[in-house]
Amino acid sequence: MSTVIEVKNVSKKYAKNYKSALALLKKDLKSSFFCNAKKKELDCAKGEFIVLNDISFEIKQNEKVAILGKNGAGKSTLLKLLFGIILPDQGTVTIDGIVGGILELGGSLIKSLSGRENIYHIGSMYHKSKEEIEKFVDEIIEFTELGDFIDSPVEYYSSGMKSKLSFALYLYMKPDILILDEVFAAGDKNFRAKAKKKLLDLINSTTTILVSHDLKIVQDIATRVIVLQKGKILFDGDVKEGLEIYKGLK
Amino acid sequence: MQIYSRNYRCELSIIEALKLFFAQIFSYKKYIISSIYSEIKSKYQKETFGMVWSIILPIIPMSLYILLATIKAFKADDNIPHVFYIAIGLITWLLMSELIVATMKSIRKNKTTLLKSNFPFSVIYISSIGEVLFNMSIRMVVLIAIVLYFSIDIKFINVIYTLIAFIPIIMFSFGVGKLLSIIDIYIPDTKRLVDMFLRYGLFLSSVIFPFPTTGTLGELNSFNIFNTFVTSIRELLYYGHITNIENFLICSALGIIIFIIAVFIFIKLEYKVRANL
Repeated sequence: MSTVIEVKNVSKKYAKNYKSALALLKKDLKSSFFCNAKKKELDCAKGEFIVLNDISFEIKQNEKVAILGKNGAGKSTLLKLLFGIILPDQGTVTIDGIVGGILELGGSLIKSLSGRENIYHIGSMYHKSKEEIEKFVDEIIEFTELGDFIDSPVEYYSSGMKSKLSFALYLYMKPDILILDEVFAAGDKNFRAKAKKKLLDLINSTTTILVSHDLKIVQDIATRVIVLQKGKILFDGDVKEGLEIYKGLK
Repeated sequence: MQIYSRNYRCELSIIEALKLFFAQIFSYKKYIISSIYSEIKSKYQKETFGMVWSIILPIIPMSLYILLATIKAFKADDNIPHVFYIAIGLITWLLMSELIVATMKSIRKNKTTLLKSNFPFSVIYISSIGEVLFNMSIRMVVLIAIVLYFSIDIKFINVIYTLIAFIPIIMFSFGVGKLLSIIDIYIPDTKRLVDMFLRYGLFLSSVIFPFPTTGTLGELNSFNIFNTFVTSIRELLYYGHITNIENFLICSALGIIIFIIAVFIFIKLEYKVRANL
């Protein structure tokens, strides 16, 4: 199978405070206009800290990879790099396909718009035409069980309703590479069972990268596990073995 | 296939950066239209008069200064009807200041979207100026009403010239706002400084009364690009020509250059700025 994601010697650092953020701006400005392809070493000045340190891996088409690690291990930064939201400070991230997914439930919804209007709004974000969106609007309403609420402003929704809508929206956008960050807590027990079934249908035909502390979900979905610790890859391989290593982390 | 590295977009030329900017806007046109509509619709949705506010509020500063003009609170320009003088002055000034502020604030305002998806910043910028252009069109309607009510003779060709002259002004304001939005991410005091500058600028740019053209202040003010734009638009609409055309052309060229530089810098810095949001 072909490689859809290649992460090669990637490192990423952040500023710790306002002063070092300003110093980083100077460096960013310089590096944006004077390319320095030869630079191999990652310099970490005072007030900066390394989040990811020289990590490499490949993901093949249709693989389901779970990224595990304790808080501060670098999972969210890695997802942002894979999503193309931020750039590495060292190394390369190669992506072959359209990346989509959920990094935060409810984050992209516009509170003052109704659920229905949000469906069209998010759809336009994913370049869907009105006709294309119309095809799945009723399905989303039925799936989310929002009923008449679909025409009420989202600000009147409970957090569960918002999560359901957000979750459903991204399920129906169908990207080539699906990134899921702790999104399995949407709605009640019944909805979660239904959502999991729908998600598994989508995941079957999509390359998926997921981050979850729910090890049961990791076991059900993932075909491979990457365990991160302090910005480095501690383990990359079999799910069962990976879960054991993760459980053993302090 | 997309390859992201530290040097991503580093080798882009100005032309390539501009092409990318316009390609992104074209590609997300449906989203931009949807955003502008939802921004205007949702702003006053919870209030009793709802959408009516989006029409009334843009007119408030105009009506206030026009009221002050009618009671002769300002020293007027004798050649142009003062109500018209203020109305077109404010339309130009508010277009520039609102564009600068809206563009400058758009990144912080859409922080969540930008941090949780790989959505292009350019699209966010364009979406944020929709409301400003909507406000401007409302004020234009008021200006038409003033022209008709006071029977001011404005030639149709002057209107065409004026609309064309607005293009470099919009580009200038958008460019300045874009550059300020980057600075604002690293230096949070920026918006306060801009706010302060714009409050003074209103009275230094011949918006509601003519600023002295002689003396040290007058000489210094000849470098005030806002003053040049406000005065030129007013003269162009009323007389059909600009007294100091060289100054206007220099400022317009400067406005276009600022726009191009802002797009170039931002396209190159976009990902690095995102990491610091």
